[in-house]
Amino acid sequence: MRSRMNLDHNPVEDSRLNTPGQVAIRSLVSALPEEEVSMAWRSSLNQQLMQIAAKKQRRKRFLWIASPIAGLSVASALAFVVMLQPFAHKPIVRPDTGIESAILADHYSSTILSDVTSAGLNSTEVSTEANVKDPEQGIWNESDVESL
Amino acid sequence: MELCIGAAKVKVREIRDHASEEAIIDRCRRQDFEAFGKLVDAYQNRVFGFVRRMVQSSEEAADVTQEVFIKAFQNIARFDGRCSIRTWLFRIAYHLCVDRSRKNDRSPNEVALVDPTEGDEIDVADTRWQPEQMVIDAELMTVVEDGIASMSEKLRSVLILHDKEDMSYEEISQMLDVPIGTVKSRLFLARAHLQDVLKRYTEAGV
Repeated sequence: MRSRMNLDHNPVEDSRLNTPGQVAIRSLVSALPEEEVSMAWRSSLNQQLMQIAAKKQRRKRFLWIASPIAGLSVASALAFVVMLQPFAHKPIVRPDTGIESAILADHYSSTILSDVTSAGLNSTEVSTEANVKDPEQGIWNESDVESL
Repeated sequence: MELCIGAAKVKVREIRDHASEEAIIDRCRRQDFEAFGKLVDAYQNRVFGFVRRMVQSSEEAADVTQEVFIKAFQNIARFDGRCSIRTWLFRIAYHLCVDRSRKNDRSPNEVALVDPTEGDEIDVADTRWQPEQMVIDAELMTVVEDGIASMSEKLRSVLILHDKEDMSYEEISQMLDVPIGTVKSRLFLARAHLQDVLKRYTEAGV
């Protein structure tokens, strides 16, 4: 273990690699016969490479066709969403049927009447300004008081 | 040395001499089948030779070598040119061999990394087996091949890449992702192991 650790990580000086024994081994290893692949091996490799190349070509062609279609689909989907969105969130405005304005008018008139009249009086018993033809008629005078 | 230069090496040199390797690689990146064929022609025997010594059988070596070139063809667009195409191909081959051997679990056959200089001193001046003086016959080659096969993958790969494939320490270091010092240590141990194997062989023959 010690040798394994030390020798694998401690650099060896070049001089130790150039000793006659080491150089001789180098010559011997370099003189080992060349290995050669067979023609059948090469033919088999060519076939496999051609299959891979054809597959790549098909994939490229598919992407060439599919990518614009995919792009167009995404663009149209986005456009559809963008165009529909304002309608989706727009508040619904209903036509004025007059009910609201009638309710409001009634509310205003009842508020005015409650200001004018006091407790115990029916609002219908009090004449509004529209019903009073002569403003002087509604005012008490001294003769009225004496008659009481 | 010239004797060991085969047709593949000549083809590699042709590519380099004409500085057309880059052009061929560029064409390969564009999935040029013919250009990739040239690359295969140039390196098939060298890669096969390396793989053959890294795996157990010739059939397995043929399969792995095919796998190397198939992977190279599929991934050549990712080759960034930081190392040579040769280093890149050998790196693919090395990793595939390691994967294979893990599957096959060759570890029981491996030899331990023991410093040969710690025990019996090897007499390098022993003239009984000086390779230059010996006739390199088939039997000796078999002994050397067996000696190489009995090494661990780490030692074997460095020995073949440096001494057989003439790769530099830097190239091997880059390929195996180990420091240059480690490459040298492994080379030294691998040669020492082979010296030991040959010494035992010559002693047995005497």
